[in-house]
Amino acid sequence: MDVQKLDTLSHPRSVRGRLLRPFQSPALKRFMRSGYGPVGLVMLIILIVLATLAPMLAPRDPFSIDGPRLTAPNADYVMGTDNLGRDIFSDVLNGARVSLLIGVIAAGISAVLGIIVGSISGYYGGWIDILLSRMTEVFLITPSFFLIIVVVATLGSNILYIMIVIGLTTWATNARLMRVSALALRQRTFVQAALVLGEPRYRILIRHVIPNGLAPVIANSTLLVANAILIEAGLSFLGLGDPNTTSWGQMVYVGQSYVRNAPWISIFPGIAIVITVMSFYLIGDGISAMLNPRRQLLDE
Amino acid sequence: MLRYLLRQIGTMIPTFFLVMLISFFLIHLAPGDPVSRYSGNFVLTADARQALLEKYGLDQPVPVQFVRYLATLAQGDLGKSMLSGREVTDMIGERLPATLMLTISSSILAFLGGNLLAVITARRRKLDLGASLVSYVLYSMPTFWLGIILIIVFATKLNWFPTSGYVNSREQYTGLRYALDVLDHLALPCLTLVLVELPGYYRVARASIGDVRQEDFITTLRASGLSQGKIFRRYALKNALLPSVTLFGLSLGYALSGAALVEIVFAWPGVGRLTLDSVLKRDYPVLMGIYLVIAVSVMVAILLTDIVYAFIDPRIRYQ
Repeated sequence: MDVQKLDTLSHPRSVRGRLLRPFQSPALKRFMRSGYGPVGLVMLIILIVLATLAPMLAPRDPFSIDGPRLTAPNADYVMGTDNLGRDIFSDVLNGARVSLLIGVIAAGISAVLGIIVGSISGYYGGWIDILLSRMTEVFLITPSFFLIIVVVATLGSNILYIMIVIGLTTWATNARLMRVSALALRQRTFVQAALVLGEPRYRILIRHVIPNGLAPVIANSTLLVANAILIEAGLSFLGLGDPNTTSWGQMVYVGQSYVRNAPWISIFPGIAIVITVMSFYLIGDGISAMLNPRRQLLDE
Repeated sequence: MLRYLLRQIGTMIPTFFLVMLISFFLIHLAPGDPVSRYSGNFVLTADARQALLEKYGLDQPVPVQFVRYLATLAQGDLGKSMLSGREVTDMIGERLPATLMLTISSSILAFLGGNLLAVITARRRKLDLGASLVSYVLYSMPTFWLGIILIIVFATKLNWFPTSGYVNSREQYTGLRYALDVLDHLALPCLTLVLVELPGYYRVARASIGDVRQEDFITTLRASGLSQGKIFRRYALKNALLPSVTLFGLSLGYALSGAALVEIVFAWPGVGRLTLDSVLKRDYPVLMGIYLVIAVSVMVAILLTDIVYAFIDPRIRYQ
């Protein structure tokens, strides 16, 4: 760290310095120096590239069942084959899309709901706040995984339902974070000034309160992406996954019956889940370090 | 303190009813009713179907059913299972010990292990880095997958522990042998939960140790010339453990539902398995009963955590 500082001090107006200026905001620096943040980011970028190029990279059609059945990993089948003779490596590559999509969309729904409920609750206050806070509390108390199982088991295991239900049951933490931000922002001078200038309250909410109080929700949402991926994997493992898509959880579920003679069926998709979930956790912690300069000081 | 608790309970009661209301409507409005599910391929005559619906009160509109449910609930009756006709209280009651044994033992071990790890690594930079990395990996593992891996390694390859179940049904153990047999079966599911929960405690404890070290009273102690080790052991540690106490309390609240996946992987005869079965078979009364027990235990855990908090930290005074 000291070396870097010396470097920028000795060449204050270097070309390199000027080019990098947009990337040198203190917050971004804290993210890059958090150690885990950039590692997670690199992992995620690799994952996204693999997921988008999956059809090209996969050595075989993931649905083709003409391979030898239950083959252990070898040069031909890097991760072995499953009970139907499908190539697990191709399956894992294609599963990346499903997992990333579910995680991001579910966390997105959760963030939007949380922001709406939390900001209205914190900014307007009064009976609206009491009502919305109580509602948030109900969802905090409800064990979400249990609720998700009930909904998916009754409404059907459609990938869209799964994403919506995960979003609908996890927004409460976001709402709480947003409410606290909104409460603090309500007292700030620039928000008060906008009110005095006659800006309608809903406009203040949308243009000032939400954009300025968004940061904690963003940090939390990264963690939620990871959780959503884990929840979907858990659902699939219970046999409640969407039968029309192959997700990593479903592969682990299939492999459970062959634990004794073909453990690779479960092992590889599980490793894929761990790597993906970990990348989001790392990024989330990087963002937290970015938002919380004091915590960052402690780490150094 | 007492007034604070009473007020907390006061606000929790409406929340509780709301939780029950939402889940009741969700469960009952979902397509597919128990009667058509139980009859299976057997075609019921309209009369028979009507009779069955009436027997379970399913012919009434959902709000009426909810009021009826509350009425029986007020008498301390959770109703009977539609599938087996057994009392829901009994069905949950016989599953409780297994689940509680698993979740409480793993919570305690994870709590102790996580805090210990945080304390050990707090002042050793290299160890800390390693522990952080391991905690990230463990934190990212799906519980059920970790369970399967542990089965592969410790049960099928090394043969140290049984793969699944609660007791060895081939032997009729009694007394101490029975207890040891249960412990033997408990080891792997418990280890799975400990490994998954430990990183949470570790991270929270590690962060709060860092926070406490910045507090003014620590600086004062340092200035007074007290040794670093003594400050850490005597003063910093006590304060740093508060957040993990909260986490521990909450994890006990979710003790009933939290281990469902692990119970299923290890065929552990607990509440989690019962939950999944009753969801799939639309056994409304059982489902509502489990839901109620979970909601109550979460709320009790939150209250208890508040109380314990006040005992550990005398600075906290509830108004």
